[in-house]
Amino acid sequence: MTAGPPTAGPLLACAQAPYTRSVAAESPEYRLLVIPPDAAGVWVAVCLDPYLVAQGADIDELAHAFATLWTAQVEADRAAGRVPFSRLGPAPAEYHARWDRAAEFFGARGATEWPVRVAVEPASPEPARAPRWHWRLDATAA
Amino acid sequence: MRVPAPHESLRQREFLALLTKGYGVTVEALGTERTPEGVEVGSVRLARAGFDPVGLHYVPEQTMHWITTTFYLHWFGIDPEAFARQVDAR
Repeated sequence: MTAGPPTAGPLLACAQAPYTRSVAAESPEYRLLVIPPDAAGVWVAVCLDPYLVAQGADIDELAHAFATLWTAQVEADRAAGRVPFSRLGPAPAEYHARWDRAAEFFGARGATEWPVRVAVEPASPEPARAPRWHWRLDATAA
Repeated sequence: MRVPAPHESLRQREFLALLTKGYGVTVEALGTERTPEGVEVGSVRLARAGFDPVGLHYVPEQTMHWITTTFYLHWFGIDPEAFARQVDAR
């Protein structure tokens, strides 16, 4: 990885995905392993459960990309009459272990990956209302 | 499982082209917008017979990260090695 030491600023500023489709929260919170840019030049977020992966040129785009993925899945599952995410399994064990390490060592020298929790506000009965996303670090050493 | 190195230079538009031509994946546009920098991005839904559809925040010229590539291949049941050969054959 080529990124410097992690900084919490962008996330603690609560990245808001400017997504306007009508969706409802089916689960209150997700754990995401956020990986700063490497040679590919993009940020990556791996959701541990369900297994979803999004990428973006910066944190805002990453948040937007995750919202796109999440929303499309919720809508597809609903259209099929299924509970959202009910057919998806967890991410590979490697990412769970990396999230745990990131939470333990965030801010330490050489630690670059971010342990993030993403919460979605409870469903709104108002069709036009967009979901609100809240990103926060979950780092015991931060 | 890490997707072989050639994917690390794969643009999103190239990735989708390979999925559509080689694996019957269809792309449905959900909406487009322009970033403050003037880059056009879109929300798309990818579908393949026999698999659930999946969303993608589409930035055509953005490089696919190998973790992202691996995820979509996994989603659609595509063998990474076979996909790598398709990339090489471009």
